[in-house]
Amino acid sequence: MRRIYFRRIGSCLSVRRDIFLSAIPVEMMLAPVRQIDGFVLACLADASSGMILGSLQDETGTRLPVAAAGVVSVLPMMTGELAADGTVEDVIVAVGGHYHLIRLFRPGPARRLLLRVTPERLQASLAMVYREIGDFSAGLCGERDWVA
Amino acid sequence: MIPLRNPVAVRLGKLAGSGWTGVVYLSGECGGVIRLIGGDVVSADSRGTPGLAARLAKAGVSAGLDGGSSLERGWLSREATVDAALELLSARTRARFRASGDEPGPGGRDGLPVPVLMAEVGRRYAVVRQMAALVTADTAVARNPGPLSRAIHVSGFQWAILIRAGGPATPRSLALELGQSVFSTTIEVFRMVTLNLLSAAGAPAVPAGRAGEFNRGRPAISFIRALAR
Repeated sequence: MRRIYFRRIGSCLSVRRDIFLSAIPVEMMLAPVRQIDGFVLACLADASSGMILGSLQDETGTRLPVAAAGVVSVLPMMTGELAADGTVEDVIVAVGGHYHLIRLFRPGPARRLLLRVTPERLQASLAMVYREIGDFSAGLCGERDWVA
Repeated sequence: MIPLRNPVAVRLGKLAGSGWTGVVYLSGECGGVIRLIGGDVVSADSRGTPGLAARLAKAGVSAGLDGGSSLERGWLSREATVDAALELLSARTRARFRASGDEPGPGGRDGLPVPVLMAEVGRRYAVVRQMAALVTADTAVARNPGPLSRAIHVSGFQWAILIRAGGPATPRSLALELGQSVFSTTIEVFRMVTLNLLSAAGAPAVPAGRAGEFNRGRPAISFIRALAR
């Protein structure tokens, strides 16, 4: 049973680019996400190229390149006509024993990053996970995209 | 030719295995250099991709090495290296290695292990092959005339491409102008062709409202399929 949820943002989140311009390695930057109950995996990928910029993993079951490729494959669903009235902010996929939360954010006008966080479905509270990821990405969000 | 099997890739693997420090010079139309320190690739430059300095300037990041520890700078440096390596390893080039001291190149001292670089180059090469039927880095594209029949969301990067594609332009020329990765620009152009915002030069524009019909049976990118090698 697979369920996919979409949410659109109404306003741009706060800008804290100083985090991105600091000397923190990506893995350290992702550390707060590891505190999520049932945490299994997190990875940050460039939305255009699909290159993995950093990752954290508590289980070895998932191949990280596959995880990142899966994230980038979702991107076309988050843009185009579906996002015509705003910006699709995230996608939540419930698969078997896991949730997969994929969040799109923009630390700069020409850069889009995708964050994927996978927690255990039984251990994680989806609302809390959602809030944690929202807080995390709010600190990294940049400018809003253009709408043609 | 599959990049991972080409002679330059094999030679790079041998140099990395022996922990060499120096520069690999590659000849040819899209020639360039790959710099190694202790067997790791610290930077690569190709005539066909924007250099790190241009990317830093466009991103507004300091070009000095003293600012080299910033995350943004690190990403730009890695992207410049992988982008150039893809060009260099995709072309038929001849390599010449010259050992040298361990002066850092423009990307600083933080190097990429050759197997990691090869894995990323191989993945990108597979994506490029998927797109090749529709768009390559050197395919001339132009913005479709006329209004769209529906609202479409585009990213800042896509918008930057759109406003520059009034006349024929290639993903490579756009990438060089924007100081962006040629690979990423080609992917964005591919996505915009499938959205019917751009067309390959000479190809007729699709009538408004018929984009779905137009895209049926056309190639699509699968990043997961690109890993199945």
